[in-house]
Amino acid sequence: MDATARPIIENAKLPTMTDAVAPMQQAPARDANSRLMDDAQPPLIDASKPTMGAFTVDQPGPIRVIPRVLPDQEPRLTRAAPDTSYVVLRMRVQDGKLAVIGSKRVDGPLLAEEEIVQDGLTYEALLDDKRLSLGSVPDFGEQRSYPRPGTTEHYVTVLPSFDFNLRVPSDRISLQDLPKLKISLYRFKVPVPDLKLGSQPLRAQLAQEVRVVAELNGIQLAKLPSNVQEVVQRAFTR
Amino acid sequence: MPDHKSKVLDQGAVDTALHVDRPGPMPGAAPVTDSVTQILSAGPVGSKLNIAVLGDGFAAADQDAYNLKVQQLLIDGVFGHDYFYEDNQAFNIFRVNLISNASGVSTRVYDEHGTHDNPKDDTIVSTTMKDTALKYIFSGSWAHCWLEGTADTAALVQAALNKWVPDYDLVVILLNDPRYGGCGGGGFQVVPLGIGWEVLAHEFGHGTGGLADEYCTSNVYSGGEPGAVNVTINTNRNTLKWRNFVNPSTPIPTGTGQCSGYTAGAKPAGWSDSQDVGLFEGGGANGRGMYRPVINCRMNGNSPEFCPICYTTLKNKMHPYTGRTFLKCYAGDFNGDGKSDLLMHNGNSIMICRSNGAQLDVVFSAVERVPGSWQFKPNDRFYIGDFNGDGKDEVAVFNGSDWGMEYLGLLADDGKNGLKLIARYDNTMPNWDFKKDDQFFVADFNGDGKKDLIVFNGTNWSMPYLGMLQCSGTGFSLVRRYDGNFAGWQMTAGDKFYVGDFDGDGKQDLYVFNGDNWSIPYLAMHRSTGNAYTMVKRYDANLAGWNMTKGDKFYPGDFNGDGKTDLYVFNGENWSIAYLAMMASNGAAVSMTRRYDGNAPGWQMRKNDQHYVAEISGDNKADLFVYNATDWGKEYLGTMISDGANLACAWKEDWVGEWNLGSVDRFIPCNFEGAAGKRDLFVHNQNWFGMIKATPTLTLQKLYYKYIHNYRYGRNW
Ligand SMILES: [Zn+2]
Repeated sequence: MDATARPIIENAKLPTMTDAVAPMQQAPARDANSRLMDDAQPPLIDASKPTMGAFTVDQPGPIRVIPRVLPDQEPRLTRAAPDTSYVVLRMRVQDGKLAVIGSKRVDGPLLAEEEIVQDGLTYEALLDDKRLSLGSVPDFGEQRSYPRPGTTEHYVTVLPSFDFNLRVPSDRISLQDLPKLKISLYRFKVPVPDLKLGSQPLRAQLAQEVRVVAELNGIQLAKLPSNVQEVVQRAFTR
Repeated sequence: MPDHKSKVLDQGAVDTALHVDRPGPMPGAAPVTDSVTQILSAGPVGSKLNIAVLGDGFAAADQDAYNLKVQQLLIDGVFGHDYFYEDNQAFNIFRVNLISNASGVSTRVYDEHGTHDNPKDDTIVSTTMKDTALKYIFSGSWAHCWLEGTADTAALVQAALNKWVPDYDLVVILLNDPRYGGCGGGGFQVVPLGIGWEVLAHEFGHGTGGLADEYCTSNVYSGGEPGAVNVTINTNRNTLKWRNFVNPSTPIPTGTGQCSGYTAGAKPAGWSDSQDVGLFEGGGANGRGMYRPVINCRMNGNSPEFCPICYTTLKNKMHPYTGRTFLKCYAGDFNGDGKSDLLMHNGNSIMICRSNGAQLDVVFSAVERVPGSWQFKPNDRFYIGDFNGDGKDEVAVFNGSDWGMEYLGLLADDGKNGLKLIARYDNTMPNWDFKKDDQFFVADFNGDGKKDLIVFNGTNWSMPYLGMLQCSGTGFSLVRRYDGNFAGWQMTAGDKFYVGDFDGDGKQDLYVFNGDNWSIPYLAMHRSTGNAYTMVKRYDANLAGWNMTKGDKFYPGDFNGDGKTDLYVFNGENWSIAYLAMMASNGAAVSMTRRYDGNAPGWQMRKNDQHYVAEISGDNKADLFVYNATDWGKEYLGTMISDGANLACAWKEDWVGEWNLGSVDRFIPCNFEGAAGKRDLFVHNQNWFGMIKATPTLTLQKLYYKYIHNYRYGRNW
């Protein structure tokens, strides 16, 4: 940028204002194609649209005294329900083994967390080695009694097993895929700051940093307890 | 993001009418069936962290007490303070209303045989069972986690969650027993009535951030580096995991010895035990061998705020769930201290960040609605101004597209640094029907010191309409409406309105331009008489020596300081070179003071120059900020200072301090310093927010990434 340079010609096909010939200075030409404000028949009416009711001075427009509680604003009616949903699998971890103990389908989109902060445990669900979802299990495996008044200490009891919720988007997995669903639960050995994950499985990207806590290679529906079978079937049936 | 709220829940089960900001349903008979009430609604459950609250031992007659306790602990307590308040947009809270047959929970008495810390030798003295929804037993014995479930409890809890809550990440179970206690873990918090919210907030630190305890015991730790972000065994400041938050002047370690405080010399004056970061021995439930970042964090003593390490972990972890960006920002002085504050809008939430002249601090965070009520939506349009003349800015808000009808609201100071709704117009008001393309302009047209609104609609009706919405301070009334013809001006869809007091009588007037709908461009000056407009001048194609073309851009500002709003006019597209003119108003007409052809003194003009009216030099003469991100190899941000007759320009190239200028940047002239004029800029894009000062030259005062927070030392990137 150099303000002492000659003005930059942005478009040489256009005139400069100084060059502009007089028509602007004179009364605008009136011809068949001209559309001048002075010639318009006020007001221009577009009969295809409604007209606002007449302004009436005896409607003084009183300041509306607001009731203490206003009703909720009226939701817009939408034709069809959104077709997004996800499935929650309630998982139990015991002795390094993962098991499905419950399931449910939930309406609405599932937030795809591309950036995770890796502390606690991290689960990853894979189908054909492609990641379906990733999530954190921040609090697991222990029970803490609240500190006694005037102190800060928990009484910690390590539990033999723990449960967590795993979520997968419905549109990427069907009931038939369950035998191929691979679920891994990882522990980060060291914090990885500014982790940016690619599309590869976590283990392939962070072989040194993560350790497998538990794994499940495929869900065999027939081997689940019948009540669990039923809820899983329902959750994956759309 | 689409709002799937209506699909999320079994409508039959949800009391959608009840909300924490408002009184509950009609008093009457106590409820007899279980139900659920969503008391914090941030968005679709799959995009948020979901908290389920269950009650045990609350009979039908106890439900009001249950509701009140949930309100006190969760909404007023945990989500009414610091971190969780700021990030309430990341959370949904479902209060499940379980009706127990009996009032109060089962209880058990242990004989601890004098060893309170060892449960192994304890024996049960007595158990008193009650018929409650979840069959918890409260014992008050610390080593027994204060309470325990029965054989049925886990299944009952799961059944209630499955039935009443669409999805959950954290569960709070409230027991109807007045004593103190509580048992946490695995995302569950089971608590009696006698606890405060602080300990629950500490527990949520475990449950959402995976944070370690920072308190001490007599334990001596001898293991390896713990995985949690907020405890360590590393005493090397160069590799310390929270080194970015340690001031170089702070010794490392900062405290040594059993559960130490500041021992490496005298504690500096003004040291904050929760916000100043060092390395203190004791933490992770150990007295020695493990270190914590601050003397006392919420993960240690419950009551203090989270330390910078814990806070940052929570912020980073929850940020995707908040769905927040810096894209929709507005400046306004909401507390009347003369310094521009920031209003941020994200989907269904707003936040207000207060300027102290040098930085911004979060003072208000509202999700889903404010009391009154106004429910926020992505297409809310905000108009900031002092609508009641109290010296503080209020917020008019319009939504013409997200609801089944259009809404106009007025939000004013709630007396607690926040906003509440004081007036709302649903669909219509006397003499005006709202439509989706209504355009609003803030203008004090009657000169009473209270801003009013001009509303224009040129597209949704058979003819254009313009209305004058006078503000009384507590609401609006339409004092005049122009149908099709605006005081001698034929209105058309492409009319553009510019507010300014061009005759200096204290009543704000209108400049109207149309370059699109006629054979020639027109500009008119409409003077406000207080409750009407009269056209004092119309320019047809030629504006005092300026050939008007459709691409003309007008910027009203009193550049000569005579109290009459003048016009800057820029055209970068209709001529071979760019033009900028200064058109002075005498109240009845404008005359050209100066025209710059291609170059202004110190600024080479280009076709995509963007201008923002400001008052940079403090002389009551309106100046311009100018930005060009597209016509050069680098981006330029400049100032154009008016002396009344000429401009003097200066600029920065590519960077303003640490701010890397980019094509996505948006600018808001403001006055966060509180000095005379309007000499500052808020600059923002998706993830970054900056405070730029223009005096004495363009410099960056403060930079924020992803969220507004001021660390005592260090930053979150
Ligand atoms: Zn901490």
